[in-house]
Amino acid sequence: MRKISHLTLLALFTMMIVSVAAGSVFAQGFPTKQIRIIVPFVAGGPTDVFARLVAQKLSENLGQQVIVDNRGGGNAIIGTEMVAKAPPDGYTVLFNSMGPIATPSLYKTLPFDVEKDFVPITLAVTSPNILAAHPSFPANTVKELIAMAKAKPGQINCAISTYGSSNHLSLELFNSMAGIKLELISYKGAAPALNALLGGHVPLMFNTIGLMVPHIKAGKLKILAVTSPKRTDIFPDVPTFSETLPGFEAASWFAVWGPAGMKKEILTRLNSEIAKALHSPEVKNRCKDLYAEAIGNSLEEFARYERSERAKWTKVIKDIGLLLD
Amino acid sequence: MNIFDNIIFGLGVAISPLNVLYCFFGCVLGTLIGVLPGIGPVATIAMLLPITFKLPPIAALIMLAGIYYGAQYGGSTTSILINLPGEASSVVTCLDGYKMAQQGRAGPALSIAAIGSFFAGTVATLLIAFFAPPLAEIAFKFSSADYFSLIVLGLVAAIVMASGSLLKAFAMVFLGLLLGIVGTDVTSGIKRFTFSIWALSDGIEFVTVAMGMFGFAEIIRNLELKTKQEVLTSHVHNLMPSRSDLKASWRPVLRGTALGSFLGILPGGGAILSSFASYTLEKRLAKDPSRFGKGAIEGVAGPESANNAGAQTSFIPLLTLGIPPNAVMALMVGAMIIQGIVPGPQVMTERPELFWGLIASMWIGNLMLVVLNLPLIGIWVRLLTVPYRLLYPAILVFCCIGVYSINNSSFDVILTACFGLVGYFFTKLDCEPAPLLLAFILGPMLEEHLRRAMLYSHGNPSVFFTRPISLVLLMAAALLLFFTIIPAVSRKRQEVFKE
Repeated sequence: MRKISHLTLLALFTMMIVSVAAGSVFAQGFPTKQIRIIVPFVAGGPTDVFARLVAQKLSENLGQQVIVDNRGGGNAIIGTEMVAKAPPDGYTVLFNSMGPIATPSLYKTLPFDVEKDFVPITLAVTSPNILAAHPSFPANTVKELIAMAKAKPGQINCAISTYGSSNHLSLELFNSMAGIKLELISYKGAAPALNALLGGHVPLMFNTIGLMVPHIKAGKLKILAVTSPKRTDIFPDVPTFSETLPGFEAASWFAVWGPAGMKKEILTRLNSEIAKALHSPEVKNRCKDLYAEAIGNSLEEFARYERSERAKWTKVIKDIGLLLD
Repeated sequence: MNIFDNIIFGLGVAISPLNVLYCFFGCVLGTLIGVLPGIGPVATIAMLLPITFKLPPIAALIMLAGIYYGAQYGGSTTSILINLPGEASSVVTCLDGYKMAQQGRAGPALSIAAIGSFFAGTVATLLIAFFAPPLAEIAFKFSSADYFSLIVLGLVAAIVMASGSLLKAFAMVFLGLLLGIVGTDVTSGIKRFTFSIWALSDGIEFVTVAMGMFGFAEIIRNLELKTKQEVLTSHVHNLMPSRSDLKASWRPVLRGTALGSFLGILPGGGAILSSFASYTLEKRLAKDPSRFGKGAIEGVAGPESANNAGAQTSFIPLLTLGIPPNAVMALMVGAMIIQGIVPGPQVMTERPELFWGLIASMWIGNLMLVVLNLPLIGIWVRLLTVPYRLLYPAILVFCCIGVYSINNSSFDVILTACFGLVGYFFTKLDCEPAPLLLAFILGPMLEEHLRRAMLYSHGNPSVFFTRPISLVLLMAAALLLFFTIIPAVSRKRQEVFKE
């Protein structure tokens, strides 16, 4: 055996020590490199905008680059799968709306397991959905709408932005709780749906409040009800659905998840930092401008909320037999 | 405050040194990505979105707008020089533009494209300034039944567009329709022809098919023929269009501008239709339609003006209503929201400096672009003299980067290569890819609007004939079909009579 020189031995020894030390340093000094927030939609949409607001503030607070990586496609499945398969070191997280993690029963098969492959980090933003109508539509309240729908079943159309979205599920919940059947018409996103509503081609639409506020204020649309449990500040005169249909609650929510298997310290650190960013005045106020509420709750609270949402929507989906194939 | 006051106000905003700088930067970047095959304004704007956080709002929007309409100028460059359409609207320019380049007339083709684009951009900007609100209202009148009839007209035009065998054109159209079906159906959420591949669940990207069938196939063919590109273009002397070129082009430019300005307002692919429609119109109106497909300058002048006009007027729904009519505008909405501007009808009145400043800077941008692009034509044409064995790997690399950049998906790149092979076989079989591409774009839209029109009317098909817009469009389509077939039929009859 060739004699290993002392220098080489020393070098090897040092390398070993450094790598062991580095391993533990990572857990203590997190984050030491750039964090990637994956948004499973193309840039510019609501999920993307909220993610960027958070990323910006997080970057400032942590002193590390936090970038938003848009991986759109497959109705958010492609981006979500990416995070499921990412290393659980805390440097890759998912920022998404309700999506496939809360509504897995919409799909026959998914390339990930929603309960085993992800760990919920925090609830970021919530925003109520609303039911808006063209001014020429005869009904002005939910009660009148239900009466109309019962008198002429299957004759009233309602627009939603995409099949399987949160506003689609709000519509289905409404249908099932009110015992009516509004015919749903889906579009390639919120913009074409809004176009159709403003043009009067479709009389009703479920969507996020932020999309429609400017048009309601301009008198081009009227609002019938909001899906949140309490009345909104912008439209204090508009009733909630739960006033006519007790128990009705459906919101648009956006949250952060990480791949399963993350270390406890990193998880806690991420949760507190993201919550801090969400509670900052800049983010809070920007969300308010967009008619949304920045939340930032604890790991356990969000995990509970996520589980209850998933259970609720699974029931709604199974009851109607909705399947996205 | 009347319109002229507003325009002067807007010019004042747009001429500020900061805004001019960002306008210039946007236009240059836009031209660059338009020239680079594959990478388009959507990917670029998406990448630059985070940076807009740090810029003042008007400058940010001016820059992004410059990228968008700048790309329309640049996109014609690759279509003409190497038969590679970067955008859906540049496909038609390939047909005659590339033939012109092969005949040594790349310079005039590029010049007319730039001049026509400038004219169209200017006119469209004026239209936005004067008629934005009423034009936006017109877009509302279009229901799905009207869109359906418009697309039917477009598909009939696809048949007119074909210069070869009518039967082969039909075959390509049907193949295009089939390819368009791949993906998730809008109306029912059902996946079709995706073979359980998640990457296909949003359908096949247009750029994948266009890049493959036009660009890659052309490269394969050129390598097979061992044609020396430089031989064909080394004797290019005049970079400027001749008097006869200008004479032939001014009317197509006018018509293209009108067509593009109108179709650009319609959300959901109106601008794409404009270049195809212009090509068909010019071919129909030409004294000798057989020149089309072989290097007719009208086939470049009209479509290029149309797509620029369409790109500008597509800002109207965004600025007047806050509703984005296409993917690029949707990104602009995101940029506005990041800046704290809520898009909607109130932007015009609450942020007039934004509205009028943006419109004024569009005109400045168009001016910058034509001043930028005309001298560059000499350089582009010089690029063709680079030995092909050096040129084609560079083209391939840029294409692959461009295709990858759409969805960060390597699957798309592989698919493009497959379409390259398919496109190569089609050239061997003497089938034109243009009708396939048109059907690929229009097919899904046709189906979506047909089914939605039926949903609106609760299953009553007479809606296509009772709505006035729809009726007019369907009659136009029927007439177009009639006048296309009649000459063919009467020719056949004459042949029979001769015997």
